[in-house]
Amino acid sequence: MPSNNHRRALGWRMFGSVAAALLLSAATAVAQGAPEPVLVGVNIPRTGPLALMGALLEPSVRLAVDQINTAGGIKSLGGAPLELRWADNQASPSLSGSEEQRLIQQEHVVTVIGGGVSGAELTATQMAERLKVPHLISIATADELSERGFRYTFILSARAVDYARGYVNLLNYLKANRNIAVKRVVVLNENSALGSSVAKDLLPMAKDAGYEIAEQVEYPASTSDVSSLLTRIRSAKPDVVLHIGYIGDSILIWNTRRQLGMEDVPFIGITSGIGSPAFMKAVGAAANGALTLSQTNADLTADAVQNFVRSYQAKYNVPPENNGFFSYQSAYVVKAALEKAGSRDPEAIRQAFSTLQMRDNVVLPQETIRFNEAGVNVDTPVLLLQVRNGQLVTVWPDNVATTAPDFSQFDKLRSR
Amino acid sequence: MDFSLIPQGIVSGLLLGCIYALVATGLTMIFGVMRVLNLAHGEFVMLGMYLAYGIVVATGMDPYLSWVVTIPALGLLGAAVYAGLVGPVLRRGDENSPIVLTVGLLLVLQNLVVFFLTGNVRGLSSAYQFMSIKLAPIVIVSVPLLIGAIGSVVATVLLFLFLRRTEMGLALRAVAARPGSAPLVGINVQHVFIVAFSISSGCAGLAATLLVPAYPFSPITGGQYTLTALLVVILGGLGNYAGALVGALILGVTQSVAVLYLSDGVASSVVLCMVIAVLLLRPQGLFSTGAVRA
Amino acid sequence: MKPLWRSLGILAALVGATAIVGPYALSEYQLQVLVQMLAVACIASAWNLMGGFTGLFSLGHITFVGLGAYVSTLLQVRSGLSPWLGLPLAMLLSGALAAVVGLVSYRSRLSHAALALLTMVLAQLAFVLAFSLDITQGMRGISIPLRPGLTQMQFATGRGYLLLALSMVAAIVGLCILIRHSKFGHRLIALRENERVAEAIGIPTFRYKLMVTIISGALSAPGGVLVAQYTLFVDPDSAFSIFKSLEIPIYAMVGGLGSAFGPLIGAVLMSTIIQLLRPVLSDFGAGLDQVVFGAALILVVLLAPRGITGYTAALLRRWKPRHEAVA
Repeated sequence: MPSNNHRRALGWRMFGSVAAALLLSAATAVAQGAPEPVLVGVNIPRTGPLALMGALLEPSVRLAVDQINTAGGIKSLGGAPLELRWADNQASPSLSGSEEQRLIQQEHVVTVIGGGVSGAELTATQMAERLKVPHLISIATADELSERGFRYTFILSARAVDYARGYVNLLNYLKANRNIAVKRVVVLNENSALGSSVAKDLLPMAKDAGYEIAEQVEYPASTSDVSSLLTRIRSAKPDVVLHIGYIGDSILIWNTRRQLGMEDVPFIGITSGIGSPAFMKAVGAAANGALTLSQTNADLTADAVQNFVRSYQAKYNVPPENNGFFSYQSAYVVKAALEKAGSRDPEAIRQAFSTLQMRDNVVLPQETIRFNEAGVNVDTPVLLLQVRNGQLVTVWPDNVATTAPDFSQFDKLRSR
Repeated sequence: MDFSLIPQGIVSGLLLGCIYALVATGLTMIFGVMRVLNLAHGEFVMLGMYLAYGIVVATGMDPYLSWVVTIPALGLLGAAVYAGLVGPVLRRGDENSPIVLTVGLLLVLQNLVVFFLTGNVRGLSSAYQFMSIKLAPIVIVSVPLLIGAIGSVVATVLLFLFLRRTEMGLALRAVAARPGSAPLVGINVQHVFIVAFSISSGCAGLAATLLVPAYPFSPITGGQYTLTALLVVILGGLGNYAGALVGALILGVTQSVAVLYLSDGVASSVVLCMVIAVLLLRPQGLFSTGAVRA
Repeated sequence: MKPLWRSLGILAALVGATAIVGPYALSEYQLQVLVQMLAVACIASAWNLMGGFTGLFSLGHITFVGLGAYVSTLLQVRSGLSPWLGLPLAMLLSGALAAVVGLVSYRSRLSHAALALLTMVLAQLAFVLAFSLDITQGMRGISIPLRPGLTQMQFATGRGYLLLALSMVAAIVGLCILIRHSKFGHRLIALRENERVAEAIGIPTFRYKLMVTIISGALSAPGGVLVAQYTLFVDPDSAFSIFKSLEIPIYAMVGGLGSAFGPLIGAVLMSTIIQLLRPVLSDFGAGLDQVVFGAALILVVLLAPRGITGYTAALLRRWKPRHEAVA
């Protein structure tokens, strides 16, 4: 006959089992309710010779994804959060291709965000094309990237040809609107894919527009000294120097310009880190008046821009730079494409990219982000920025400028 | 061709060469004393620059005084690297492996910096970075470059005195000249090796102090200094200190003057062909009086 | 069984097994990784003939690899020549360059350190020429148009590239095994141990050094061509990077210098370590996987100086005496 103890034990056991069953089904229900994350790959140079590019791309992507997930993730996928999978291509084309493959075939990402180095992007996009997964290039210059008839490559930033056109447009504007007649131009470019691809487009374009290319001087970005370079440039007596480089060499050039007393020759940089926090820190007051072409700036008044700048500054204690804008934007473009596709199928996402008309969360100075048949973000503009009293302000084109430009460094070219 | 640019090129080249010499001296010392090619040498310079930058930003001290920290810190690091890594490998008679070790060290040092400090480029803002002195209407000398050159020359002279006048210096030269016989005369070869490695990395630390006031840096800055040091050491002769100085000056001047008139690609090719010619025609270096040693 | 046939048998078994099982057992990505490992193994094996067997340490061996890549790619892109024809031409040119290097070096009786430095400077010169000359399109590099097909040496699936890579490995490592067990090979080793004595006993050291240099240079080209064909891109950095050049001897050393299988083992081992590290460490932050790789390299040098093959040989030696003692 079962004792009282035994009955009590049985009772507890029954209670335990029922409770467990209830808990289990509740947990399963909850687990099924929480949607699977959407995996997005990021393929950038995190180490190696162009780690400085990756270092500026990485933080913004993380920030954007955090914001997207906090705001509820991808609504059309049941609130699925984005989850990033990282790859370091070390600026090496062969590694980039295989890392792209790893992201797609091992990590099962549905889209890849790339950017930073053209050579690495060439092979990464090739792999993405082979494997039929969309690859969004945040920032890279090689014209070739959009000229191969690929369907899965989308590029947000301007390409070399756009930068070159930007320079020529600026010079034309100076002549037509500001009575500043530039005649002799020196092109100073670092000799990797960035500098050489822009120079290759710029030289014929400038010549066709009537400017005289006094000299084209190439140099390695890793150079330890630029005094000979600047001496050579000075002897060519240019009206302006168009400089395509990276931040390290820009700092060196700015230091040496003042040492050699060459500040009377205006330099206009592009992608060269002029006005960036590290540049300002290193060059200080001598940076005042420095001009650089760029595509974005923290002083643009659009709400989305200011929100981005504020949140970036709050998290990282420095304002974002051009690269950061593009990688931040890339994350939001991916979000928009996913929302539009309502699916994790790369083919549907690709379709969404190609028909995208994105107006929300745009931190680039354009109203709508859309890609043409070549995958190019056609409306992406080129801006002129200037360092004024420690701030980097937007001075051209006139319709986007937040501050009137100070072209006093061109005074001796006026009304010839 | 505007020949008036040449004096500027020569002066800048000479000054830059002095700094190259300081870096190359460290490399040539390690090779001369223990036959090891330390490919991580440039990484010590890079670490020194980060250290100097950090100290100057934290304390506001004059950047040129940071040697008080960089030299001992890097010297200690060098001693540690020898004691823990290179020494054990050399002691078992392995002559080929140390170079692989230095490649591993290069990867570790460079990427630790990337991991902890990011790959961003940094530049110090100092009182010196814009200063210049006009030596002649056509020759302007950058003050940081001048100070760097003077500092390098002083260090090199001190090093020469050390090697010629002190007992340890003599021991270093003895081990370099006759590695087999040195122990027979009572020289503790292990001590000599540690000292050599420390001095070498100490030189890297000093070079870092001399560079940081006006030259930006990032984790990859080390590589270019290693390559330059290698070229200098080939010109001057492996293990030859005076040769390193002269070789560095030649390299500096050739580079500076070539860039005035030629494209960077041609200038670099000229320099490299010159180095190859020296290797083939005078493998002991341009200035060696001794015989080549295998 | 003679060691020669045993080694060749092992090679044949490995290659055959991988060729048959690989495409079924491995995913597309894993196949691609394997192809890369095998390309590295080919290059390291070619290097090993000079460095491991003969003691001629070339730190700039990438010159021969990159030259091969550029030659076959340029002929393909500019003249439409199939890489199958471009490959032997690339080998010819790399071999010719090696011949020049060998001639001038050995005539001048360069020391080992000097040879190592010469090759390194040569690699740097190749890099400078590659980015300066118009024909190589400078730093923008040369893209090979995507055209999968056997005649273009491009394959739509990893299986095709795997078979190509395995054929190269079979040929190159096979040749290394043959050399290793031949009179030529024994003499090279004698040369490595002591050149003066070797000369004294009648080995034509100059001729042998030159021959092994030419063979080593020529055999480096296929690896470069293979990489170009699966990356579909060549630029100065991927072709002539000094850093990649320094990695080549490392693979051979990790595997074991004097052994014909050494470079293959070293390449597979180190590549596997990197492959395992990368996905795990990527999420922690930039650069961590390379710190660990560098540390692994240091550990291998400290703990297994004779490489993996040396280590296992030492282990075997330790076991044998016990048996003999019992007998």
